[in-house]
Parts: sequence; structure tokens; C-alpha cells
Amino acid sequence: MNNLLILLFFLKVNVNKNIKMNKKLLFTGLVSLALALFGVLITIIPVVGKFSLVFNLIAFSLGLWLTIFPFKQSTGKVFAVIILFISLSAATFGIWSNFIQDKSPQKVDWQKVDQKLDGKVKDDRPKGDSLNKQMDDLEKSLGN
Amino acid sequence: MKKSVLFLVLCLTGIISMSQTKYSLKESKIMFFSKAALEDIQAVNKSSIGLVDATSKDFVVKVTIKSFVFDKALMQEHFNENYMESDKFPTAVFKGKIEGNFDAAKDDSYPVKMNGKLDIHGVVKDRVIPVTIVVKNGIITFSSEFKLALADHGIKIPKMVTQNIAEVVDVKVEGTLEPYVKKP
Repeated sequence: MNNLLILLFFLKVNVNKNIKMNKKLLFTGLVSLALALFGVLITIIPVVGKFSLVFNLIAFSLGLWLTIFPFKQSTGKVFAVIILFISLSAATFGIWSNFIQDKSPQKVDWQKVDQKLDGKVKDDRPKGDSLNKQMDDLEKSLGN
Repeated sequence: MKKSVLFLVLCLTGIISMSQTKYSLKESKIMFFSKAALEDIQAVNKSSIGLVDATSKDFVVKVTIKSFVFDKALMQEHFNENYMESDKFPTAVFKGKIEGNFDAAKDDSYPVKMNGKLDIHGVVKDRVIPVTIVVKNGIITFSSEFKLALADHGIKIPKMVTQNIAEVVDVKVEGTLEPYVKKP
């Protein structure tokens, strides 16, 4: 989506009477559109990372800003590069989390878990009559 | 006369110990581990209460949800408020029968299965959980490892945090049993 906005920006620049038609910029815009389509393909695959989402939101906001406000061509180019970089980061994360990240089941190191939390955890079971009452209730429910 | 009294006392003690079939949790530890792309979440609970009847093989265990301790306070808050709704569902209960033999009076390692109904987050599911009971020098310990699918108990994970919380978490339970007597 953000890449599409970049394309709109370039088209906007290109159709502006005061700025001469720039084929390089139009080409960048088309590449951007291709990236946008790639981004869509990545997003429709179920696992999309939170990072990917955050990156895309930032890129989208910048893209929207870029499209609405009349930047100079050079300023626009800088923004466009930033947005493309962010979008590519999002796509890279998407690829990593979908295809590269090791999702095979791993054995949990329970000793490590225990050591990490053992000092914090206390036995806060009820005491005295309160415990007896709860145990009576458990005894009654046993086998029922 | 003294010998007769002593004999009577010994007989009564023997009868009492033979009739001891119920065991309660002396101590227990429930740990869970969630492995997701962005973070690992782990928690420990030492506040379960439970009873096992060695004769009928019935058991019941009750876990206080708010007693799970996390390494980050915010995780614990989210766990209680957003996922487990621990004010609404304060306890988890596992109740059923032990399948397989174990003799509390004989030192050995007994692999058994605990077949019962597991009630978490107000959703009851039939579960068969493998447990190893070890009797050594009169002390009964048990341990078990199993997996738990959050969706099975109606625990919903928002899409925004699917990279932070595993859909299936690993659980380890261990503890010690003692003959059940009411505490003064």
C-alpha cells in the first residue's frame, strides 16, 4: 500500500506541468508497485509479524504524507528511499518468520525456567481452617 | 499388662497406617513455557492443592490461577486480565482417575496415566496425561510433561500478539505427596 502511494507520488510529480517528465522516477515508481504486490503476497500468508505490521504502518503514514503534501522532487526522493527501506525491512521480516525461522519443536529447558523464577515464587496456599475447608471440598468432589 | 497395652498400641498404629489411602499434595510446582517468534514466556505456580485416593485411584487437583508468577509483572497482568480472566475463572481443576498401578508402600517408579476432566478458563476438556510416580524411602513424588492448546480452553490470542504467544504451551508438573491429615 505504501509503495502504491510512492507510485502515486511519482505520477503526481510526473504529471505536474512545472516538472519535466522523468523516466527514471516513473521506473522507480513501477518497481515500487511491484514491491507493493510482493508485500500483498507476504501479508496474505498467515503468519505476519508484529514488526512487519508496525513497519508497514510507519511506511504507510510516511507514504500518505508524501502523497498529500507537495514536496520538491529531491525531498520526495529521500522520503521515497526511506519508505522503500522500511517496506523492505518489513518484507524481510515476513520472509524470515514465514520461511526461514526454525519452528520445529524444541525441548524446553525446565531447569532454566525453574532457576529464573524460583526465587520469586512462593507457596501461597491457604493455611489452617481455610485450607481444611478447601481440602474438605476436594475430598467431597473426589470420585464424583 | 504393659506388654498387652504396647501390643494394642502397635496394632492400632498398624491399622491406621494400613487404612491410610488418601494422599494430599505436600508441595507442587507447575511450570509453563510459551515459545513464540518474538519472545519466550514462562511462569511458575507453587500453590496447588490436591488429593489422591490410592485405593479408588481417584484424584483431584486445584490450581489458583493468580498464583502463577512471571518474570515480568506486565506479562502476569496480561495473563490474568486478558487471557485467563482470573477474576471470572479463579481456579483450574483437574479431576479423574489414575490408570495404571502404583503401590505407595513399595519403592519403585510407576508410569501411570491420569485420565480426567481438565477445567481451565471455564472450559472442560477430557485429558489423559502421562505421569511418573516414584516411591522412594516412603516418599512419593510425581512428575509430568505435556502440551496444552490454548484454543482448547477458549483462550483467545489477538492477531496482534500471535508472534508473542504460542498457540500450544509446554507444561511441566512435579510435586510430592504426603498422607492426608487435616492441618491444625
